[in-house]
Amino acid sequence: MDFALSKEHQAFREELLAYLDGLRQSRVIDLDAVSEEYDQDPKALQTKGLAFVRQLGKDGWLGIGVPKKYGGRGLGFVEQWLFLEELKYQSLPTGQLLIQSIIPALVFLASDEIRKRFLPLCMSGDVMFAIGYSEPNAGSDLAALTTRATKTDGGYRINGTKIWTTNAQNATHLWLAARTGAPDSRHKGISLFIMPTDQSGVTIQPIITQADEQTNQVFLDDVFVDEDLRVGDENEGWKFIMAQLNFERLFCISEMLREFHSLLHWWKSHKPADTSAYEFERRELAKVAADIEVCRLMAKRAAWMMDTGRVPEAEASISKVFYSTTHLRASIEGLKLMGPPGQVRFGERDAPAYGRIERGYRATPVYNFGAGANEIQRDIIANRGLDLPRIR
Amino acid sequence: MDLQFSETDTLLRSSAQKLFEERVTLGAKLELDHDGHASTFDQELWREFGELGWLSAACAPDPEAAVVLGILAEEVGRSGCATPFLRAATAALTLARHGEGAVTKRLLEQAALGTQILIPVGIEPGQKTILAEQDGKDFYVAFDRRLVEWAPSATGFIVMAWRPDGRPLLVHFDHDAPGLEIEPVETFDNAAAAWVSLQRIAVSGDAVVGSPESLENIDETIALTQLLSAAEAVGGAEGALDLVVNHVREREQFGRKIGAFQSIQHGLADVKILVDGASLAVWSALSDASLDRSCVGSAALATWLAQRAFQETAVKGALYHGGMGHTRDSHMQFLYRRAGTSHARLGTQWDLLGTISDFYIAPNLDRVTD
Ligand SMILES: Cc1cc2nc3c(=O)[nH]c(=O)nc-3n(C[C@H](O)[C@H](O)[C@H](O)COP(=O)(O)OP(=O)(O)OC[C@H]3O[C@@H](n4cnc5c(N)ncnc54)[C@H](O)[C@@H]3O)c2cc1C
Repeated sequence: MDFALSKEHQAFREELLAYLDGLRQSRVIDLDAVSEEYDQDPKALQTKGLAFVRQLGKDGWLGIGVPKKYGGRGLGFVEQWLFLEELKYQSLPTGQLLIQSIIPALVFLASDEIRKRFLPLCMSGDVMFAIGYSEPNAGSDLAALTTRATKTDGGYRINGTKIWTTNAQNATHLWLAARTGAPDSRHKGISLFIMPTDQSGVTIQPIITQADEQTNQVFLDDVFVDEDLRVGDENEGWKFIMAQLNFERLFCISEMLREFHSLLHWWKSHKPADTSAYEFERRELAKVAADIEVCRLMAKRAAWMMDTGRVPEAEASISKVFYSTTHLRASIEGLKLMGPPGQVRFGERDAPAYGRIERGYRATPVYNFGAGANEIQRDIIANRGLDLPRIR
Repeated sequence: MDLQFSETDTLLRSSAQKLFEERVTLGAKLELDHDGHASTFDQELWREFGELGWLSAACAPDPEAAVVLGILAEEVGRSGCATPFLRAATAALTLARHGEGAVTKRLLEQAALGTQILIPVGIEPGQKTILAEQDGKDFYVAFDRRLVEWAPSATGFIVMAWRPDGRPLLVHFDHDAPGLEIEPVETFDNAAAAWVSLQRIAVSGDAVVGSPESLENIDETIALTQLLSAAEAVGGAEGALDLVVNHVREREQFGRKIGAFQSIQHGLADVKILVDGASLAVWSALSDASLDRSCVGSAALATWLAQRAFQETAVKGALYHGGMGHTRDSHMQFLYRRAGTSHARLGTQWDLLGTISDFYIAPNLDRVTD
């Protein structure tokens, strides 16, 4: 038993660090500007971010988890996890959905034709996905979704409304769940499509969150999707949805860690040591640090499990609930430490810890319900982790 | 990177579980726990520990023993067994790694067989409360009424005392050494304890089993022994969780199993998360210790998490047992009580969080400066 990264993993990490360093020095891309843009809205890829992700693609980084026979590097989940952690810690976009969701779902479940068609595009950064699952009346109860895909010549006509479709404004495709079975067929009547967003009938309407981030409502009005763009068999989409969500639930910690380290630097610079307040606060911070460390171990375990052919089920839900609650708590503890200046908004001059804590406080609640609300995850933990009866 | 136990480790765990299931039954616990007032342990079981080689695991200096000892500690915890095993392991590990001379050799040989039960005094993280005064060339040690777990069962004590120059000494006393007073006291757990005092006596010659030189790096050994207590606490939490999950699967109210109520499922899911996190932290640190890597910071972290997980699980476990969990005849109450005394064993919040802060806050103060 050894929890430490292997030599190969460490070498991978060093290679990545050297690459980013090289990129920074060569100024092929202005990484500081990329970070700055990313900081404004980490959930939506914009011009500079997109150029950076394409550069990552050109230099082979988006394909780290793609098998060699499809042109990737054929590395494991641990490497993919390390990649995401490092980039996020440096406030750089990762093409995260590609690496953390779409590529593994394609690699593990899609047909060879779909793989051959989309994996190269994923690896070059020439496709960007948004996830089109949630609907106004199908949130936690996703199997109640009503967006319909009706068979037509050579493909499907899609009608319905998706909501919370994050990054749809920049996406080339929606990873779309639509009903192909009877209205009451629940999860047995859902198919999964890769739907181009430039088709006619697609209307994207922004929704701005309390964290100033954009997500969207997407109206689909008789949108045509080619039959070849159905992933898996008709009515067999649920397993793709579940697999993708499970990959998405393997939360990286570095967004939280970066916020936390910003907080530590502010705290050190503003609170005199050798006072009883300092001794108290360093212990309060230690409690948060301990939980962040647990999040790291949980993410590491998930990556290791997948690399060794195990499927994290309860473990993915455990990691998701603990990450989301810890991240929010870290923001709240930060605000408690800061006193009056803590309320200064992100983007204002002299906002403590660059406003990252208050921004985190506004942005973090999404993790409590995104990728499956925590209550639903607790159901899964009870059912799969503790073998208690299913209640839904 | 390999997060799984080896086949030998898995085998050890299952044989330990089997032994505890057979021997640490509710009846056996109740018998030792005379009306809630325990003073002893199952001597026969102790002999078996010796025969199985479990007692010798702590009597050698090899770092790999950390995993074996961790598994045994976790299983002791899961069973809620009243045994001086962990205390004796702390004394033995300290001697095995830092002891010197013929006395050390003899004590370890006897400890491995189980004929010598060595109980540690003052071998705890952050504790420098026992002082070795210097008078000329001689050192004198004294302490007054320290609560020492399993002292009534000790055949000898291994005491860590600190010299005026801040360097440690390791001292051995037989249980009937002159000047040593052992006053048994009841705790609210099913473990025996005593107030132990030592009148000021000179320590020299054979009594000194460890010198400042041999005790270099003692922090790592103390951290490992702390981790074993954390493993015991995680085992206790896992045991409590098993008990309560079995209970809610069986107990019916309102015409269905109470385990089908979402509030109970979510309460248990929350403690499962804490137990899982603590277990990862304990095993990550133990794997470091077993590979001779430093574990002082990670031990404090794992201990803090284990303490929280055990206490929370015990409280929820008792709650979802309803009235039955509150009775002396319930398995649950043994673990509930053990969780309460675990705070005494695992260290104060102040010390644990202070160490976590040293290792996880201090190095990161200037990591993100823009
Ligand atoms: C900023 C943002 C970005 C998002 N991005 C995407 C995206 O890109 N793609 C996408 O498809 N979706 C996305 N989502 C949607 C997200 O996945 C949903 O919000 C989530 O699934 C919960 O659905 P809901 O909001 O309808 O809440 P509801 O399902 O209405 O839940 C409300 C509350 O009730 C609880 N609840 C519901 N059912 C139960 C039950 N059976 N037992 C106990 N409690 C229950 C929930 O836990 C929650 O606390 C995003 C949401 C936001 C806000």
